[in-house]
Amino acid sequence: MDGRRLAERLAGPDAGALVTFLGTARSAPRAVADGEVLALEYEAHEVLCRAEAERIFAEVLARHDVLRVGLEHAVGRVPVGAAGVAVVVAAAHRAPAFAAAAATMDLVKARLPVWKKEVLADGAHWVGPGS
Amino acid sequence: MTSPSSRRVRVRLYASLAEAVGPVLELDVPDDARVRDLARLAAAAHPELAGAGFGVATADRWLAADEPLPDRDDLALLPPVSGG
Repeated sequence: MDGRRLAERLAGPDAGALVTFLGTARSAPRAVADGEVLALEYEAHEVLCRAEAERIFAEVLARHDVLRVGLEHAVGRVPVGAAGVAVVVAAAHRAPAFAAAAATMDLVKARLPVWKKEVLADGAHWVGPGS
Repeated sequence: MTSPSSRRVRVRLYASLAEAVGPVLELDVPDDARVRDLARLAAAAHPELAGAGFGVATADRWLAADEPLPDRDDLALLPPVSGG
């Protein structure tokens, strides 16, 4: 996942700004005090994800002066360094594009029915909310 | 057998909840149950769920705690989300 296909789909002659955010798996753990994360594993309620993503897009489009919003989220294993989530926003101008991308990520982290597990050498641990 | 004023619901579990008690729960709930009652009854039936905050959803949307529990076969108990 690198967001490029999503960006290509959302680009257009009406967009002077195309912002792509990638959330990437990092090695510092959150679920345990120390250790090295080797990978993340994501589980999702996929049908509800699609419905909730549409609601998130509608809210972002209502609050920000942007043209199009898109989201991809990994399911399954994501190695450290790789992207687990991509958000793309197309807008006429860059300031609202950046703001909308940040707002979309905030809503994804608060409401998208996805759960992540950190895989370390000694086992895997579910991560708490909002991390 | 369930009493006339209750119904059996089948609830899908996800993530840490599914690891704790399995992918599906069946519970008897009063016909006038609210969404919060489902969470409470699940924790009463499975003490390992007690203290776990969870949300309730259908396949379409999250449900609010105080709304009537809908009579649907796509109910799910979901742990606090951690996507993104």
